[in-house]
Amino acid sequence: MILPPGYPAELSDILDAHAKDGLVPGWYAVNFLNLGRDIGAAIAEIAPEAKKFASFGGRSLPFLFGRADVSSCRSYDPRELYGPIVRSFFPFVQLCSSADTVLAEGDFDLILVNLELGGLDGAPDPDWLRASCACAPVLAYRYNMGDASPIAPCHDFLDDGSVFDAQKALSWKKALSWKKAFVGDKQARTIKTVTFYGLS
Amino acid sequence: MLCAALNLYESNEVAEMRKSVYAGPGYTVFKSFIAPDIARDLGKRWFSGMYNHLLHDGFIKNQELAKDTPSFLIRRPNECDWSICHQIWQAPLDETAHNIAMECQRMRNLIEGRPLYYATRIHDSLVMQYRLCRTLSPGVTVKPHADFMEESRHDPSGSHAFDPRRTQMTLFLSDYGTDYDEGGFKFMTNDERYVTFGRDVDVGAGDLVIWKYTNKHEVSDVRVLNDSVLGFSRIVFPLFEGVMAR
Repeated sequence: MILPPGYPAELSDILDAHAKDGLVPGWYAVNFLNLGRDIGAAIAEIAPEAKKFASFGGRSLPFLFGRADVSSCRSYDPRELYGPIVRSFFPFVQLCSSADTVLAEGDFDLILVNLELGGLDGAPDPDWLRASCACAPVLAYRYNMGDASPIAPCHDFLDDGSVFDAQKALSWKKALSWKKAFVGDKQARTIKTVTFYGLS
Repeated sequence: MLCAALNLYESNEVAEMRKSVYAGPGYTVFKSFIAPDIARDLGKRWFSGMYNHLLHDGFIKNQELAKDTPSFLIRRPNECDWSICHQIWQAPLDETAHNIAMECQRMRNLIEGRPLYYATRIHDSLVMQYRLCRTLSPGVTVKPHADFMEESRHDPSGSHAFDPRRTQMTLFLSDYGTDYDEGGFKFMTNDERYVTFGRDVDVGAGDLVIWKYTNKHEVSDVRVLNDSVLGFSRIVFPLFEGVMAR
């Protein structure tokens, strides 16, 4: 894909792979390269020794690319179209389904969650998420494109054309921000929510 | 039926169109999106000038487009070259044109993976204007450029940061070989070849072309045939940022 001057050449291949597999080569694919440093800093703050990662929603995986200290990584992504992209760029990733997996203490050092993916069909239900997020520190993040509406950014990131269900998205966010699940018991864990501001 | 797109597409059809835009030639052609006679009548209705009294006759800057901006007429680059700009969130002056614009936007949203009515509501982060454009002048009327490729803009409609998702649409209202020839809408494909729609690609009145906005494009070298009032006529659908706040 033709890039503007100054963009890294590797981005072209990534965008082409998105398009070839039927995904929209959108803002996310462009900007993970720009946001890598910010995500890396957030990981270093929350879990500096982390080697075992889980990604809920799949979009966090690019931020792990090139990290020498990743010993294992699992991706929980409901979208079939995303699989080929993940496999082509991140062969070390194990693709998993939340339907048949129960996360346990010690499975992961850090869980990465992209909050934009809450409305997808097949996204993990809030109970599974709540239980799973209690197993390890969580870095939950979203991008902010400058929208005043809390829903609009979710719309913008459904780059595979998946059906958006606002009610599901809201219930998922509610589950993730329900502090009792992460802070109020003896197994209290760290959850950090971060908003990254995009270039657009 | 006014628009063939009133029925939602099967997802595999959308996927094929999307691949054509992003991984194929850089565009997809929806033949007979509206009936050719409806398209030509629409063009004649507005480009005859009979409804110009309904329009604000003067240029309004992109950056000054606001919630209460009325429909307006731009005569650029020459007096005979018109762009009639309607805001999708305003009460329509032409119900037919308004409904067609709404259906076109639904198509774009399906391809770009956005909510079905995105950009048709004033609260959306981007909102749509539909422009009925007529070119009668020879020479270059729209200079070669690419949008959302971080090119600087004198009067931007919003951010022009790199965004390969963005598409533009052209709904043709006239016919190459009948109303004009030689040039028209020229587009650089994904493999960096230039094509002229109507001449190199089978496109005529009523056909909708959805194309990748980051590819270079221009309008030039139009020669009007048969004293056509239409010349090279089409509707384009720019999106604007920040209108809600103005």
